[in-house]
Amino acid sequence: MDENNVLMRIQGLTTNFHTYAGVVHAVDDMTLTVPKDSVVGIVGESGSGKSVTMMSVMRLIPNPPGRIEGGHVWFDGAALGMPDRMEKDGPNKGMVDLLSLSAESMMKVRGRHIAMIFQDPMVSLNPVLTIGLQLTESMVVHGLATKEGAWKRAVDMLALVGIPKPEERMRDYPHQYSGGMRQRVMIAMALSCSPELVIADEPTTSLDVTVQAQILELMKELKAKLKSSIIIISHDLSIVAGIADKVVVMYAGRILEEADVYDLYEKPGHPYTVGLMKSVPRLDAENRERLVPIEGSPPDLLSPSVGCKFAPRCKYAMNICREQEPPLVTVGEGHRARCFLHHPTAPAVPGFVKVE
Amino acid sequence: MDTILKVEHLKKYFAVNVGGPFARHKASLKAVDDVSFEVGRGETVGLVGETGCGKTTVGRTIVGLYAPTAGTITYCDENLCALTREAMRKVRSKLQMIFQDPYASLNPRMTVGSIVEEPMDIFSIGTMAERRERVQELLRTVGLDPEHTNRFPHEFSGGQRQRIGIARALAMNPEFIVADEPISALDVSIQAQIVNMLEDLQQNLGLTYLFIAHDLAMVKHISDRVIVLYLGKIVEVDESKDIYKHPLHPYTKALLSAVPIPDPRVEMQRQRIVLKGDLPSPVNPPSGCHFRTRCPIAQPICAEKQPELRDMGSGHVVACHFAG
Ligand SMILES: Nc1ncnc2c1ncn2[C@@H]1O[C@H](COP(=O)(O)OP(=O)(O)OP(=O)(O)O)[C@@H](O)[C@H]1O
Ligand SMILES: Nc1ncnc2c1ncn2[C@@H]1O[C@H](COP(=O)(O)OP(=O)(O)O)[C@@H](O)[C@H]1O
Ligand code: SF4
Ligand code: SF4
Ligand SMILES: [Mg+2]
Ligand SMILES: [Mg+2]
Repeated sequence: MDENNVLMRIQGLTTNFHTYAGVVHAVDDMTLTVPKDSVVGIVGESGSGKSVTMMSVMRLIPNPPGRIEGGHVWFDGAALGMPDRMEKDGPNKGMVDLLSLSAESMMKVRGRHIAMIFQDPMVSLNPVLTIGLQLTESMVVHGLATKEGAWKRAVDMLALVGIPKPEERMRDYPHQYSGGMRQRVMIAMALSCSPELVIADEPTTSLDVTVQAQILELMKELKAKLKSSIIIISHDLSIVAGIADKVVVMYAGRILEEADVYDLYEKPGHPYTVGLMKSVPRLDAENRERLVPIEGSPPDLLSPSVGCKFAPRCKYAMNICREQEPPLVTVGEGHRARCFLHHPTAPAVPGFVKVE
Repeated sequence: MDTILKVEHLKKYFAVNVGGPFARHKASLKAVDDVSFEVGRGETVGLVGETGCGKTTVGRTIVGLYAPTAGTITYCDENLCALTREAMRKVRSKLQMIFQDPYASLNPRMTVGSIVEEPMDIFSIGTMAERRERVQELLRTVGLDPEHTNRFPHEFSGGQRQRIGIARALAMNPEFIVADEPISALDVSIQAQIVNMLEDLQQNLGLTYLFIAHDLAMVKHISDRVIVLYLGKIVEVDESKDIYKHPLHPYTKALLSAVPIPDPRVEMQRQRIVLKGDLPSPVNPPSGCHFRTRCPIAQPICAEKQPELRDMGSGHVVACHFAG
């Protein structure tokens, strides 16, 4: 990838929660690159560390019990307008490590350069303030507009996300909006300061399928219109299929596979990804075929197994898989997978290429 | 078709406060409004529709957790609504329900053994030793370790809890099971385990299912026929494979079109029918056809006249003035 084209690079991020039961290894040596003007999909089951990764980026991990214990979150320094904090040379030249910023500088990043959309819009909206007040607040706080200017822009944003009669609806309270409309408001709010990155954490999980379709169509439209990069998180492989340029599969706090969206679905390079695809029925399937489940249960993050975290459920597991963690290896252009089956000396499995 | 369950003109209305908790007037919320359908022995019928359209209410009324406001439910030629208490208890034991939330539906203070055994206790079936024996057998049937009878629900994962709920539902040797979104709360990788198990149980025990779900791809996978509900009314019924190929009702078309497909080549090309707006309130549904406020092909007549369910041949019925 062109180095100038990187908006954010998460490197070796490690976040733990120190609970009474022990240390929860929520995110472990996570690495992820987000190109400018792109949509990255992150797929993983509940507890795989998707939200904790993003809360770490935003520096919103509750401490205690949580702690970011390693890694860097490099972000385009020019976009942040922090020339004095930029790396002078090396692979991250021109980037700023968000994890090194003071709490005060971080407040200038949140909402302004990185905005977040959550699963449940009701949690992020204040029930006693009007939608208009909440929409204009961050523009005013970040000094991007006067009160009047912010109001005008907020009305435009509501219209952009498809709220009918936006001027009138500015004076309404959150409970006067339906679930789908609240999620539209959240999107409008996230976009109001024209952030370089929008993180949408399961934005449609609590919505009905028809409303989910409305929101996804809206996000696709916005993707074409706006310059922001988007990270869309989901537990459902089919949701990111229609919107992401690149997809990352997470399991037990780490990346198992990363690929261009077409490659991932056409030639998945990790047994877990293959398993996820075979375990869900397709609406357009011709015949009724028996599903192939992934046996066993999700990993225990309190006492992670040694070696490959997927080994206890993997039908290809070899001896080495229970001893050593496989590295993320490049198996194609922009395609990486964390699995020993790609090793030249591993037994051949159809669909898995060998790499040195 | 050997009909095992017949639902006729079923209505279930709830009295609700409108305008907040301090309002003086109660309104009637028509959760289920004149619903009729039949289920054949050994069949799986899917029940789909958006949140609040009445799926759970239909299910709970069938298994006797709600008394119907009007209408009849006939099970194996017996009118459930006209039985004496005692006779009813006996028949009802043949109809069981599996619930959506495996966290909320199990009593956290009871051991797994006593949760599964409870229905047999209530009906005083067998000796204590026989019941214990049966619990072990049931746990094995659902793929749990029979040694774990003394554990509590919180010691199990979501998928395992759903298995406990299924074991409990099987305790009375039921014939008919209402499965209310049994997999929606589970991880994707666990859903297929439970669905396959439900299919195996159906084969081995000759069960009949009413399968309620949001996930239309899963409903298509598991059901022989599908019933589509909208605001308490049936809008379309057809065999699963046909309804996905040739839906006739505009709502069914929109529902199907909204389902994402895990394939970027298909997904990036797809032309979606995106419905406008949200589900109207069931307290105050639109006049005429309930769907008209969101229907892309609505005409003036739709506001005046409620469309009847029309038979389109070979069991395909649809309620729309312009379908066909
Ligand atoms: N006990 C009750 N008292 C009052 N209203 C109720 C009650 N149970 C259900 N309702 C209302 O009846 C309607 C149908 O509810 P129901 O639970 O059957 O929907 P559903 O189709 O199962 O929805 P979901 O997909 O969200 O589970 C809803 O408007 C709901 O709010
Ligand atoms: N505040 C917290 N205290 C303890 N553990 C936490 C906390 N927040 C998250 N975790 C744990 O971190 C892991 C990853 O969680 P999360 O990132 O929320 O997963 P998801 O992929 O579902 O978003 C889980 O095991 C979760 O239980
Ligand atoms: S490394 Fe081994 S256990 Fe892990 S996914 Fe690959 S084959 Fe399976
Ligand atoms: S009856 Fe009219 S409003 Fe109802 S579905 Fe048919 S065309 Fe649409
Ligand atoms: Mg999450
Ligand atoms: Mg329900």
